[in-house]
Amino acid sequence: MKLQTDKSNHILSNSLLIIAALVLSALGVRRCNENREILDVEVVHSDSIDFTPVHIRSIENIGEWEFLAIADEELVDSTRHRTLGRDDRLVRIYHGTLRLGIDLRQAREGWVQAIGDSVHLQLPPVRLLSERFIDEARTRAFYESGTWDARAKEQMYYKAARQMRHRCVTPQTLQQAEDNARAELTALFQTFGFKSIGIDFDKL
Amino acid sequence: MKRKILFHNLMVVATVLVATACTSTAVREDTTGSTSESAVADSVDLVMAVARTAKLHTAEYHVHKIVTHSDVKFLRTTLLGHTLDTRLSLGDRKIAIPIDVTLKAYIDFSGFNESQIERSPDGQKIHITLPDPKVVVTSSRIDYQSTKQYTDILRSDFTDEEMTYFTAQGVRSILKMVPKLGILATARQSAARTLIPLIASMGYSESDIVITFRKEFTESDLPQLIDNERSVVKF
Repeated sequence: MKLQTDKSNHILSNSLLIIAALVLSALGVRRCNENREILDVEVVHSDSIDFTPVHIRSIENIGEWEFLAIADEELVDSTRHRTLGRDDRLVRIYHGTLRLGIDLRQAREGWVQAIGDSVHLQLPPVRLLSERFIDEARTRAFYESGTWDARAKEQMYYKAARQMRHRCVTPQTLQQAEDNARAELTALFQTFGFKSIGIDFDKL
Repeated sequence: MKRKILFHNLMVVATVLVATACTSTAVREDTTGSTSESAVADSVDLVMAVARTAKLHTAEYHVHKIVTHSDVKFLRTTLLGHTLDTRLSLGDRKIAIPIDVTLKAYIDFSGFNESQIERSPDGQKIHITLPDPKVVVTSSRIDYQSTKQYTDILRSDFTDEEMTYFTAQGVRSILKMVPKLGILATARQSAARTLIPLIASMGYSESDIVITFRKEFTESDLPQLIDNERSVVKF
């Protein structure tokens, strides 16, 4: 009987020692990992892109006066319904800057008429200067579940562009840009010494 | 019997403690360089900021780049300050994203004043010193149809968030190349092409109009003059 009790005590004490050693080693590893001084093991990978060349597709001389810049963000949500299981969803926040102003390439010949200290400008209508205004590099992928093909993402891009255009290119913003064009061009021509400055815009 | 129960309980507690400690040293996978917390913290507020400007855009560059990324995993062991990287055979991932970026060079006339205009005493000649030109990214677009990715069976596809992250890096690398694209010379020529007829219509002969920038920039000046803001490069 006594022999059996001694044996169980021995097993128990050994077990306690093993447990203590395990706990101490676990705490030790954790401490080392926190300090990152003695031992650190981790899986790493590079998240930077490779070096690749830049190709210039085209260079164009333009003459666009920008008088109003509207920075906009649009949230576009796309859902694909599934018969079985959860629906796929992709939510992206697009960033774009819509620039309103005048394109001097559309100005008629003789659009500046100067006589003495008076000048008259006949300007083309204020409009959205470029249809390409979304900066996809600044787009944020907000939520993604499931797999999405190229066509779905392109559709989202066009939807974002439509939403931005609808929100930002309004009669009010066009008028704002026109008012600012008058103010800025008046100030510019005053610096050239003109005292009387008349500005008119062509109708769309 | 009581000892057996006590022993059993101790073993359970120890197992939990060891498991907790091991979890802290477990493999951490961060595919975009940002933590999951920061992704959750992203705001969904939609912003619309309107700014009155007076910028004359003079040159437009359409630039194409294929952004590539190779995702290879390494086991990094740091022992007493010494680091050893061992390539893991967990499977690789590669992606190639073609992007198209539009850059525009512009001159901001909002601060233009009389001190930047000089006239000859007889009033026949005019010298205009233009504000410093700048370059802005007006659009960037991913060509999704031509995007290719290759992933081994043990790896997951690149997420939308990762693709956007690589695209942003691609645009930044294009901006770093701006000094070598010759956009400064184009901006100057184009500004002259736009402004000379305008000033000529004020009564000056084209040969009497001189348009210059504040200083004669050289290619070596440009990297130091890159603006910190991502989308604007100031010469």
